[in-house]
Amino acid sequence: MTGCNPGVIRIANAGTLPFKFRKVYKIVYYCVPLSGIIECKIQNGAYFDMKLILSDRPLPLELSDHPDVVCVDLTRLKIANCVGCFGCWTKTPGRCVIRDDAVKVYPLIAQSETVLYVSRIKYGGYDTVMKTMLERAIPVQQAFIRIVNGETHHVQRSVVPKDAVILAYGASDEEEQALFRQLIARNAHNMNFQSYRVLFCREDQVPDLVQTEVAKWGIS
Amino acid sequence: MGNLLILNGSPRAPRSNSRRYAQIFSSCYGENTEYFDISKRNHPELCAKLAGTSHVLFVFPLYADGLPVTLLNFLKSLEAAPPQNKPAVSVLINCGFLEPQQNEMAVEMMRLFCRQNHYPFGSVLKIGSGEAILDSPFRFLAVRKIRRFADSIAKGSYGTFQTTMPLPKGLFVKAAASYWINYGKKFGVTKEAMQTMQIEP
Repeated sequence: MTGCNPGVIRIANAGTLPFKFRKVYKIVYYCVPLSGIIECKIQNGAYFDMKLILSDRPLPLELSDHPDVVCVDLTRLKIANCVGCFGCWTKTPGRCVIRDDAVKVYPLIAQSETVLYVSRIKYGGYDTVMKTMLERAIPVQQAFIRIVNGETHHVQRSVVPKDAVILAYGASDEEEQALFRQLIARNAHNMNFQSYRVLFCREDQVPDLVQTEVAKWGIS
Repeated sequence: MGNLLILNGSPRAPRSNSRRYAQIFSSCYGENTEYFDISKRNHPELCAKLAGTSHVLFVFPLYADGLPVTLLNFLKSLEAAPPQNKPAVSVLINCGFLEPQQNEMAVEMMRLFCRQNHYPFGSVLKIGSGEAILDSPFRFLAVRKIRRFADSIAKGSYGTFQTTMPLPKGLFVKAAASYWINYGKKFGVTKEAMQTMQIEP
């Protein structure tokens, strides 16, 4: 087993890629020269649905044979707090004005059809590492409002509907777990989850549970 | 009425709507308030301030359905360095959505923090359309509710309050569009540009 290895990027026949695939190619292009911290592989111009693992801790995964899976270890990225400037809505729409590692992650969130978020829980919500990234992901939304299920929410930009699994560890009790479940139900509206599951575990159980989840994607 | 500490957990605290709400609250509550923005560097100072107060009011916006990281990190600092005598905690939260109920998750997170760390819980005010209401004809509704909220804290008869613009949702969507189009104009950005579907174009 190895961790989420940095910089394993392979691109072939990129010029002939279908449109959606080219957008993924563009994301990879942004990633390469900066740090190679995001593992992302594209092979032979084949179209595939993207799967994203976003984690607040290193994960023991070997993904070299799975070009459709991107694993982001947030602890290895430099991501500042959102400053609430609304720049990504009103000055440079779709682009955060803070040009740190977050700008490589939120396009991946938007593109992915399947996501696995791994996060510690704090006060019934995501702890700092994951929450910081999710707050920085608001460029995937517009300032404008729409009505969804009778409630007002922001209009999404090109955000693919997602099947989400949230693996949450460190909850103090059932009350905190219940609160976190409610949070994910709220997130579903704002993060375009078409389905979601919430799993709770102890911190030491995270690696095994991640393995179990990715095995469902055909990864052993 | 005891002394009251107001802590602003907005990431853009000095220029935030939360600050404006805090100012209105202060004028309604009376003279015994002290106001601070939460920043990355002042956690120890603010934790020490809590030791000398009987009531703390957290004012902040809803961020990604929950507490903004600025506030979350401060609560973690406070958990690590708690005051000996714990003040009661009240919450004034606003969100840009029409429904003040969308703030509920963040309020529950604050309640959980208080339960886990043994702080008495005070009053709650949830404001919908919080980005714009103070600059709209409905400002008086927000001010009136803040006054009631402040009174409840001053009298120790805690309760939960909420307010928003009294608009049909469809009209709110149009009003919000107008607000944001004018916001973009300040930077020379058109409505069409703001509506781009591209991410990191």
